[in-house]
Amino acid sequence: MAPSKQITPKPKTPKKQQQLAPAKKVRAPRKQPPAPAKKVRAPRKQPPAMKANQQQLSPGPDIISDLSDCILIHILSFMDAQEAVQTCILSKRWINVWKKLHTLTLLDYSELSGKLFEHFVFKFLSLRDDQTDIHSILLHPPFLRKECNKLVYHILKYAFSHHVQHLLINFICFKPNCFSFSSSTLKSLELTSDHLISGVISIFPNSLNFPALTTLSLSYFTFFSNEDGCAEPFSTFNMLNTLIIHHCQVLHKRHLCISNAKLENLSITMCYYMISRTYFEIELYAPSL
Amino acid sequence: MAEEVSSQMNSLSISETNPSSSATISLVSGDDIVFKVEPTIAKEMETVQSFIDETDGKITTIPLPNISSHDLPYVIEYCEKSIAGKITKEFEAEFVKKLNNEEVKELFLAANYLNIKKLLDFLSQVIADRIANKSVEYVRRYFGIENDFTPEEEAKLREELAWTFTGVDPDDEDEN
Repeated sequence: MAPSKQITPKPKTPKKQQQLAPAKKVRAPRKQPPAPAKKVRAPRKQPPAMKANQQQLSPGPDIISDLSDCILIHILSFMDAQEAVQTCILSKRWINVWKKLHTLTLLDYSELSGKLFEHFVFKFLSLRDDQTDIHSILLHPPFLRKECNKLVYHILKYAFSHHVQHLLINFICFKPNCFSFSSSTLKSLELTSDHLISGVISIFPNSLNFPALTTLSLSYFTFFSNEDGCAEPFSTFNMLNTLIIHHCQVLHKRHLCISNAKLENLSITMCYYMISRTYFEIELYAPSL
Repeated sequence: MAEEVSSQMNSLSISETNPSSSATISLVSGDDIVFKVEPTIAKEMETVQSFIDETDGKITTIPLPNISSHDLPYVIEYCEKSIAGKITKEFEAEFVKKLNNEEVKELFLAANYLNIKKLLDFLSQVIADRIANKSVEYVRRYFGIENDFTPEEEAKLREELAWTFTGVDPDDEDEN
């Protein structure tokens, strides 16, 4: 292991070589403050047994902790939120790193009871750094329980006020208050509800204000039609590029109008055991398809 | 030694100001081994490419003092596959199989330094996967982190963080 493996290289060729240095800032724009000055490590406190173990697994020096916050956060962003938060106990260097995480990803929260899950999300959102935007919130299967409505509303409210760009939520039933937001930053929205479990339909309203939305995926949603008998839930999404409608229905057998000039990808899956058990007509205007 | 390398670099770069020699880029590892690569490979490495651009392509020998000759071939291999559009799940699985924990961390630093987004993302995922569902003690050993909390401080912190440690399986037995 070359001891020179540090992240702040100063290649020593003359003149322009120093141009290399700025580039090392790498991925994230420099909104993170620089890492706190390295503290002198305290003398080892670990018992010898621990040390032996340590060497067995990881003979090298701690080359990761010396990286800047934004790179550590980059690693954390690939983890489940619960694991990411737990890194705060690794050492003093890590204690606040997770707070600048710009993702909330929960891949499998089936182990947590409804209450604990709710508690976790509330804590996560209230203790993270409020000045840091949240780019993506991904709540993967299983479905959030019906009682979680307040939580889902809270998550959405927080997300939209922190400039969220990507939202993926599985929730048994989305109430209308879930759609009381507008956002100029939201790029992708993926919602899955399930009226087969809840017995209650989730309505995706017309004329939502998400001007930057490029990808929309809806599963098990119901669309309402206007007075003219046509449901046009996507007409306001001028940037929409990809639309996936999976097992959705239009109430009262009306038309579904899809009219999006920039739409390039469209996927529609139908399912006959929907509540209405009827098909509906689709009017399609998508010159870019 | 760094001084030596730099003076050597200097003479090399002067001798290569001829535009016709821009066909290949020489990457010089920290331990002084020269790897000749196609300019397309250099394009994948943003740090290298921006350096070349800054000098209007006149300098084609790039010292990479932080990257060893052990790690650089892996980086080049990944970039080659990336250019060929052949980064598949299978390739990545095979690629990572060859790497031990230390190598993963070193390549991560290399990808960070060279600013290769795809490789950095891939290795971030690898690291995240390797410490998934592991105990705090395991992760400390994985990263080589020395625990600088006193037992009292750690106990207090764990208490404050009960909301995130709920339901965690203390799986510390997993071998590398």
